[in-house]
Parts: sequence; C-alpha cells; structure tokens
Amino acid sequence: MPSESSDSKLFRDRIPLKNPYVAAALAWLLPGAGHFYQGRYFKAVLYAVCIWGTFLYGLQLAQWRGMYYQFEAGNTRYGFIAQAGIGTPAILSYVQARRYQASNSKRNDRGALQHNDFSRINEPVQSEFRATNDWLRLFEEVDSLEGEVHLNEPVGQEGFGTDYHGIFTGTMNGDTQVTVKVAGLSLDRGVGCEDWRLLKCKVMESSDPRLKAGQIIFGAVPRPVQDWLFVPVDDDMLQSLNRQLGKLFELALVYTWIAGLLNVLAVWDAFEGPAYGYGDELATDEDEKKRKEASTKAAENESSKSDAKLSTSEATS
Amino acid sequence: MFDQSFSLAAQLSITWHVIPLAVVVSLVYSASRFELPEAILQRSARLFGTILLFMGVVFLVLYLLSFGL
Repeated sequence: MPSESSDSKLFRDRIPLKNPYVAAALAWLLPGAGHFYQGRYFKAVLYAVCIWGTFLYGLQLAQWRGMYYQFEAGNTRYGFIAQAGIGTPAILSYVQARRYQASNSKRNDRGALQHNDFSRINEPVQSEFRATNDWLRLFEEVDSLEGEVHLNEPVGQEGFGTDYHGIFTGTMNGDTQVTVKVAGLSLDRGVGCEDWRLLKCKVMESSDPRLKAGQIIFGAVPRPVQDWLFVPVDDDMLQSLNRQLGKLFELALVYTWIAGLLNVLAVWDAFEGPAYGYGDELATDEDEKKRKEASTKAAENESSKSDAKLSTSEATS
Repeated sequence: MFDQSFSLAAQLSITWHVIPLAVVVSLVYSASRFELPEAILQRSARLFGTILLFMGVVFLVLYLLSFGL
C-alpha cells in the first residue's frame, strides 16, 4: 500500500462526494448510480458495466434462477449474503420470497417448499395454453393441444357447488382446429419458480370426437416474469438445473456472488472516496524528489564554484 | 440476442470464464483504490497480469502433481 504524502491526505477534497450517504445508497441499489450522482462518470460507467455485466451473465447462465432469498432451518442460501451486495435484486428477492410464501402453504417432509399444489382459480384467465403428449396420456389419438383458454369467473360458493367454466380454442396435433368446453378448472399457484403454470381441467364438450367428455387435460399456461423471477427455487427445479448445467450452474452462482462482493467496494468508494489516493500522488512525489535532487545538485555546484573561486583568489594573493 | 450471445459464451470451457472474471475484479478493485482513469487502467492491467501469473503457476503446479495419474 503506498504511503500517503501530505498532498495525498487532501486528495479527498478533490473528489466531489456530495452527500456520501445518498451516494452510497444509490451505489448499493444500482451499481454505478452513486458515482453518476457524484459526477464521477468514468467510474460510474466502469462499475455499472463490470458489476452489472458479471451479475447478469451469472444470472443468465443459471437460467435466471441463481438468486433468491431463502433462510429457513435446513434450507438456507448463504450465497445470498454475497449477492445482497447489489441492492435492487436483493430487495426484489426478499419481496418475491414473501409473495411465494403467501401463495404457498404446502411443504414436503424436509420442510422444502413444494410447487405442485393446485388451487382453484379465483379470477378470469385469458392466456396461451399448451399441452403435449406427456400431459395428454389419457387421449390416445391426441399428441398436442395449442391455443388459447378463456376461463370464466367461478359461479356459486367456494367449495362444494362452485362451478368453473372455460373454453379452449386452438389446434390439435398441429393441424385440426378444435373448440373445447372445459370445467373443473384448477391452476398452479400464481407465484412460482417455473415460467409456466400447470392447468388442470375436465373436458365437457368437444368439437372433435378424439377429445372425449369427462377426461382430464393437463396443460401449461405462461406465468408472467414478475411472478417467477427471483422466486425461491424448489428442489425439483434445482435438480433439473444441476442436471442440465452441471458445473456451469455453480460457476453462474460464483459470478453473481463476485458481482455482489465487488459492489461492496464500489459502495465504499462512493461513500469514502478511493482507498489509496487520487492516482497522481506517486507521479507528484517523484517530481518532488527530482526537483529536490536537482536543487541539491545545483546547490552543490554553486558551493563548488564558490570554493574554486575562493581557492584561486587565495592563490593569486 | 442477449440470451443468444450469452449462451454462446456458456458453451466455452469453464476455464475461459476465469479470464473475464479476472478482468472485472482487477478493474473494480483498482477503481476502488484510485480516482484517475489512467491510474485505474494502469493498476488494473498490472493486477490482471499478476492474477493470470498466479493462476498459471497454480495450474502448472497442479499439472505437475497430477502428471502420470
């Protein structure tokens, strides 16, 4: 660590820290924003590009499931502490975890959150719908269903006697147009880690005889990004990510941790200024040394000249 | 586009991911030490070289230790 000269002790006066508390808070919330507020544009761009780049790359590598808040007995994500160096995603993760808990009450034996609890719909849904062969095992001649579902509001009281209706319009097996009236609808919960929600319904009436009345269709409707991003990931999804990505999943997490830890340095820089100095101290110190050396040399020359003069005058006398 | 270029990078060997990480760490670390852009860039270039050298030495030691295994 370079030693601070008297000049460099004053280097912080040369940096416009403005209100350091505001700057630090902004730097924590959005890397680069604190320095932008202070007018330190080079550093703002450098921090924003480096920290956001590392964080987003890691998050993308983990298929956007690398960051979530989960602090429960036996199921704690300590990596979140490092990731929390970046404020906005950390806050969003906390909010999503609360929303997830509110929309979920089922847990498995180990206390982990489960995702397959269906709930009856309580709002009208108009959405894309997709069901493939895996889901349609009850229908021998049906390979896929793709189209739109319009689910109506439930009629009657919650529980026994409540009736749910909907209409599916789309294509069957990729070519045949079908319209299916469905009932007995239930939908996967609103907030979850997958980008789709499971929809279960019973065929009431169909325009194609291959879809028989009384049989059950399992399909998926898309889940909006605000309902799955930063949401706690369940065991099934974690296993699937590890299986799919292998070591890359761990690497992705390391990227997000490092990004969070690097932002701690950026926050401190926004609050206190750079740790060592402005950056030109070493140069000025060297200049000072050179100046001193030059002046001592000049003084020596001067004294040797005067000595020589004195000796010549003594010799002449 | 964003996802595509990222997934291309994801196909690289895991070792190559260390290099951009070393660049980022040296840039951010140096930026937190100095204010002048020239000083930051100079210091980060030196730090990046040091990190690579250190990793190279570790790699060499591990390679030699695992020789013939």
